[in-house]
Amino acid sequence: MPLLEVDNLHVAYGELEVVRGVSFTVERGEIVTILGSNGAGKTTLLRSLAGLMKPAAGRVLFGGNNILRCPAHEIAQQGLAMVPEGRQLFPEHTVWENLELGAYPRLRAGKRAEFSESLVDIFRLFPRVEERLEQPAGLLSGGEQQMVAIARALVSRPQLLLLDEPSLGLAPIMVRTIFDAFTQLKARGLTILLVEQMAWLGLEICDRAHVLETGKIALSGTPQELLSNPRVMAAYLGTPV
Amino acid sequence: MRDTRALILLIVTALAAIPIITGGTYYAFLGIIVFIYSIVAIGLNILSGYAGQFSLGHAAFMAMGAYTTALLTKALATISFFAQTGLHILLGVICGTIVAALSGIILAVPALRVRGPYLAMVTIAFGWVVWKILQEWVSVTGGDLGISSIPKPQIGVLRLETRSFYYVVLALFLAALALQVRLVRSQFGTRLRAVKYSEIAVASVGIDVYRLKVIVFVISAAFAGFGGTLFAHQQNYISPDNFQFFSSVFFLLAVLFGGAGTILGPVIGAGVLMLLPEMLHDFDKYRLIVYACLILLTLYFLPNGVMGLVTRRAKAQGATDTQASGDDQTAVVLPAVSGAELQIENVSRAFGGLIALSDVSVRVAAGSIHALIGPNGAGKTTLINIVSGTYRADSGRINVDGADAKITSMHMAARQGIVRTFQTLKLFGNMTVIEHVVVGKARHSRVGLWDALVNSRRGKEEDRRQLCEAKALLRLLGISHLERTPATALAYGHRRLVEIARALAVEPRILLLDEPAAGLVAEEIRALAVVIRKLKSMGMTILLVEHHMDLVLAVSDRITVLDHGAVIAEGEPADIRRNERVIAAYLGPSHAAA
Amino acid sequence: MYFFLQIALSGIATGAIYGLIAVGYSLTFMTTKALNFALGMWVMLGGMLTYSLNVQYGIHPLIVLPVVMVALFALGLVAERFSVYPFLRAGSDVWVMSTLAVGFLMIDLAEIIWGRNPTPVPPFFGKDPVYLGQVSILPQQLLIIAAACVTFVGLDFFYRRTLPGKAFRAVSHSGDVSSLMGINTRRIEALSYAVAAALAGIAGFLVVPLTLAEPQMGTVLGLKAFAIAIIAGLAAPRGILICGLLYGAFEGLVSGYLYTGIRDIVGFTIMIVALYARPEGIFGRRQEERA
Repeated sequence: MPLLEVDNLHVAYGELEVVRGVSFTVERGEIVTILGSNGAGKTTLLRSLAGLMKPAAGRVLFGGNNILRCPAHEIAQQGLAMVPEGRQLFPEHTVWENLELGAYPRLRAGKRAEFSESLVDIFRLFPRVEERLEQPAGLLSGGEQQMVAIARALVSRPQLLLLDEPSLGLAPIMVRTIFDAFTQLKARGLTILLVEQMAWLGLEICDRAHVLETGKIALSGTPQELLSNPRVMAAYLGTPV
Repeated sequence: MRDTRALILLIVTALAAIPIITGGTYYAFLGIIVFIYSIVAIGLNILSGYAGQFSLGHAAFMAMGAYTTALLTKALATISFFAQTGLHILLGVICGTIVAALSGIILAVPALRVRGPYLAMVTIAFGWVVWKILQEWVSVTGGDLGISSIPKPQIGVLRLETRSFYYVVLALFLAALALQVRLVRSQFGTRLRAVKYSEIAVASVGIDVYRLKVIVFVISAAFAGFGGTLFAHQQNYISPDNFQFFSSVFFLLAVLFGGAGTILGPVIGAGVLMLLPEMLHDFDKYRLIVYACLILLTLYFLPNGVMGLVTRRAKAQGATDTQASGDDQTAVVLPAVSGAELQIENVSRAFGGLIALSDVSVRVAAGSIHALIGPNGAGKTTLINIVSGTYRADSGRINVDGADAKITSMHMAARQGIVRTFQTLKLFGNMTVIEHVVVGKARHSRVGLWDALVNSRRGKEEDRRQLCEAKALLRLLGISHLERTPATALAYGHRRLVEIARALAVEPRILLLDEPAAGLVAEEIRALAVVIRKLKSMGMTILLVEHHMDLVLAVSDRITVLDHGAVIAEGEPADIRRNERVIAAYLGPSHAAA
Repeated sequence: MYFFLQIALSGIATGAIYGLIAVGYSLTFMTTKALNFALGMWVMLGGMLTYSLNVQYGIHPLIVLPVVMVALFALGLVAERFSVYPFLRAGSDVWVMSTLAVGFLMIDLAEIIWGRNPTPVPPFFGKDPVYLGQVSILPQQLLIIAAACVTFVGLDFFYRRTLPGKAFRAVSHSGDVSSLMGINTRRIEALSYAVAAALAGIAGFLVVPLTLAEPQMGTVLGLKAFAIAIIAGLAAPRGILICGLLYGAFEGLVSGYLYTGIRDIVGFTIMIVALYARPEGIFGRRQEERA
């Protein structure tokens, strides 16, 4: 059974339909990438999966459960964590506090030991995060913020990690570090759904990818298939006049 | 139309007959109070119902009018000239209204810098201050004891008793209603309604929104003051108790309950709320509970008030009942556009620690289409915002035709000929398409508020001219058939075109299109390309921010590519497409090499 | 000199009350960008309840306080559910009218239950002023200052040191991102109203022995507290406390050196000017709009 199953999803902003009947699956332990230029509906898709937007129609099964009408915080508690576009850390809280908040439900239930354990792995993955624990998150550089944002999503020990354009605004070296981390996370069994505007980044590490165009999946395939498909280039750079 | 006129005549006759039919003075007295409150409510409706600015301090303006006329007329009544002619009453009413209007200016100037709850708070505070002053300044206002023996209204030597005064007040009430209709149906009224929906969009077409709000606030205060003067002469006794915070709430409730933003709403609201106490025993004890329940009921079930329920369908049509139904079969020639050259020089802008733009320079030749592309977060929208006056640059200049444009705000940019459209559409709710375009014509309007109020010939001609030009624009964009459609009923592609039409109405020399293809399907994008090319052939300079490469390649003369806030390439479309840095920015370094 | 200290000190006590109420506005504004426009009426309710329990039923103040807090907390939850939450969606400022309506309801109900006549409530710890050197202060005022300090320190501790408090602040920053963490944003929004109501209850409890218990007592208090919250900046609770104390002292000085009647006039005029000069408040941060 796939970990995530999306079936004919329709999402609208008022009267504008942004996601028009999208269907795909994500198997356990996979990395799936959604590509597409801006305005294609990628962010709206992720936000609906995380529960921040209510879809107009369709089905979303997470671990077999229909989460379509679930409020976002319940979806998070079921093991779906999202790193939103632009990091969106809590700027006045310290890095440590941001991490704590990432594990809020567990900590409220008193499971501090689990929290500390998950931190060990995370610090190994992102040593920089451990160095910056006491700093207000708003003062970190873009790359460091991204690491903290991902760490914050990981402390809840999710089964599925959603990432919305993690490369946005980052210097190439940082991008490299972070994408390497994704590969490592996959090796540890995490399932990842990644949305990227930078096609080659997204295609490098994934198992399968879909290209979203004006709210519909236009192309699907393995990285090799898509990289050699001229339509992918056309989607970004237009067709020759 | 004929039916409406007949109905109005019928109602007016009925109202006029009331004192005769009912005998005695009780109903005439009630009627006078209802008319007076309606006048105040009408003023508040123009401000809060149409323009969307909530004021919870209007009782203060009523008090200004009432106290001014009370003091003035009492003083003048001793002079025999006035006692004979009754002119002191007229003088009192006029002065009272003026004083209220002046205090409206004093409050509006600081208050309208803020919005929503802050504005509500300031108006409450103002109302409170005035009320306190009325209580404390005993030597002038009589303090808590108030002012009594205010002269009764009189014309010539004739003292107007309640029944005769009834007719005077009825006439004045009808005049106030007519004035409201005039205002609302004029261009001024259209702009007011637009402000309620999107102040930014209104500013983007060159209208000074702040000034507009101040003007409407003052008009509203004048109405309240006028009502106050009538109140004083009717009651012959006023005290601070008449002008408390709850009175202000009463008026706003009347407007909301009756139907904010409708012609008759304030009248119905004032009428019902006034007559309610008469019908309920022991009302005074439960006054606040009744009002509270009415507020909550209205908010839950009647968000558009009583009139809102009644006229929901009529609204769409009524709103298009513009004055000039000019016949325009003649082909109107669109004014030739002298597109200006736009030079963006070394513009930088940072948000806190994040550098959005760093030393960006772009030259857009006059009459050309120049596209700005780049990955997400590259700074394109920030640049458009700076050129259109939404933000200020940290450093650098914007030159229009060689001269420094000194852009400080959106409406100043529009006045320099720089007009933009918005990535997330900012239309005016359910106003019709033609109304949107007419709002855009404000910049070049040659008539003012006065012409609207008196319905002058000059005003009507101007309206007709603007309507013609607006229709021509709709024809240019191929959406003539949607002229009277409310914007909310339009397909997304058409909404985009309406926004462009509105921008064109300003007669820009430089048009900024911010992701016009966002949300459009292939067909609509093709239609959009046709429109853009048409605009260029008219001579317009266009700066286009876009992600849809098909569109960009199809229409652009030159392309500038931004990445991480800096220009990484510039040139003709074919060159850009092959440019390695550009390909790398989008598709990755390895791709460029391939 | 002593006169100055005297009235300044007593003004600070009043200011502490304003601060307590003003913080209530700030709490709700930070989480929902809306607030209880009629918070003053809730103060009145706290005061009237105190009167009933303490004077009519003779219950000791130390027991009255928690009862009042709990009662108002619960009522706050209910009021939020029906008069704020339904209108948050609209994206408009309709909640101004709906919260005002609830306030009006409370005033009238209070008049029905307790009558309109102002009733004195005996101070909790005696009437005789306490002397600090040459300066005297009423025990009730000392109590107010002490209680306000404890409350503020407690609130500050809650928001900065405890996990639920940090979650509150997170929701203030972004309700959406908070829910991604598994935080129940909706519940926190409702709780912030309840806490604000409880704070108002504390303020009513503290102030009613100084003023008289009557249904109209809350309106002006609420207005002034809102003014202070705006001057300080609705999103700056610490600044609000400082502004509250200063405003109270200022009021006392105006009353003492000029005369009482113009006290509110001057105060509100300053507020209008302050809002004009610096809309985000003295301690507030200007919101930069990103594209």
